[in-house]
Amino acid sequence: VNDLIAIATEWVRANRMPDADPSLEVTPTTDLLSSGLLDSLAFVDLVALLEERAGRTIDLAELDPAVFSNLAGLCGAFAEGSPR
Amino acid sequence: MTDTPGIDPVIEAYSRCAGEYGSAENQESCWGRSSRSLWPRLRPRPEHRLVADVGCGPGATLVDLASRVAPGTRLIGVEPAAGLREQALAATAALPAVEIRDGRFESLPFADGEVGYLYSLMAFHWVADPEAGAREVARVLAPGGEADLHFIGRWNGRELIKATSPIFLRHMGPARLLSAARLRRQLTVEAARQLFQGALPDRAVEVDERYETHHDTLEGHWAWWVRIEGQMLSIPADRRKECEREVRDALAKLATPEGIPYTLHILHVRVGPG
Repeated sequence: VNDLIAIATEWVRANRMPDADPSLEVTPTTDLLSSGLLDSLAFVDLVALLEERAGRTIDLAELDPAVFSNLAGLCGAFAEGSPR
Repeated sequence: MTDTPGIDPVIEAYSRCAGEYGSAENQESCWGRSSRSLWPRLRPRPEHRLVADVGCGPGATLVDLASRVAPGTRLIGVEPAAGLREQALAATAALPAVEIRDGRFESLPFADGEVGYLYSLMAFHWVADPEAGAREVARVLAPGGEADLHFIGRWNGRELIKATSPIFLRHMGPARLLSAARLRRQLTVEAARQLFQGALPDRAVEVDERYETHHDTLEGHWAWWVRIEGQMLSIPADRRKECEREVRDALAKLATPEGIPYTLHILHVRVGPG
């Protein structure tokens, strides 16, 4: 899961919203949506990236919103997801 | 909002809200004002014998254009939402040069090279398949044809999106939130340039972007925003009321002395004869 978090952190840093607070740091527990670092369109791309890199899928309908919106929770869910 | 296979939820939503589309609140909202400001920028020439409005909605632009095209020019509005087509038919009933057809960007109801001038206002971001849409524009344009497409870009409405996305996530859950996001194809200017220059390699294609910040009251924003984007979000009925209350509170907190800001990010694709 740490590898996934590292990949995702790098991606978020490269794809953060242009109007996000520049002083905000991307950490595993940062809430990416409420902080304004990502929006839902960016989450579509992030989830696709994690599916590809983890080789696993997750059931988003079953995922707690609070888990979904930070990298520790999201990457943890992918680490335990179903093989693609 | 249904997820029935084969039914486009965007078209379905627009058809359902067609009756409200022409309301004064919508026409005076940032979307209505911005769309009308584009009318003078549409440039049909006398040699354009067939002019197409793709995503014509209730036909207001066609009515305006009908008064300033050369005699003999045919104006054809293309609209996939049945409810809006009915409104466009009614609005243009007294204009013999205007015809309304069912169709969409991905399957334009024209023969190859038939269209002299194609325009579209605030519609291309709803296409399900942008590559197919751009290919169809290339297919139907006459050899000397021209086109102007204005549509929203990737960075549209950031103020409201930032304020409301966490609320929608809480009430909808991740699956519905991402399903709603996938309905929109909001391109960056670079992606739009690549798309249209790739589809029309032999034409002069220019793509530019601009930002317009509009200020409105909470009710003014609510009139257009919930009706259009809110319906895309598939909020469960039992949570809708609480979600809407939280969203209204969040929007109210954005208020400035000028009103609640909303910045449109508008892309313009201009296709010349090449």
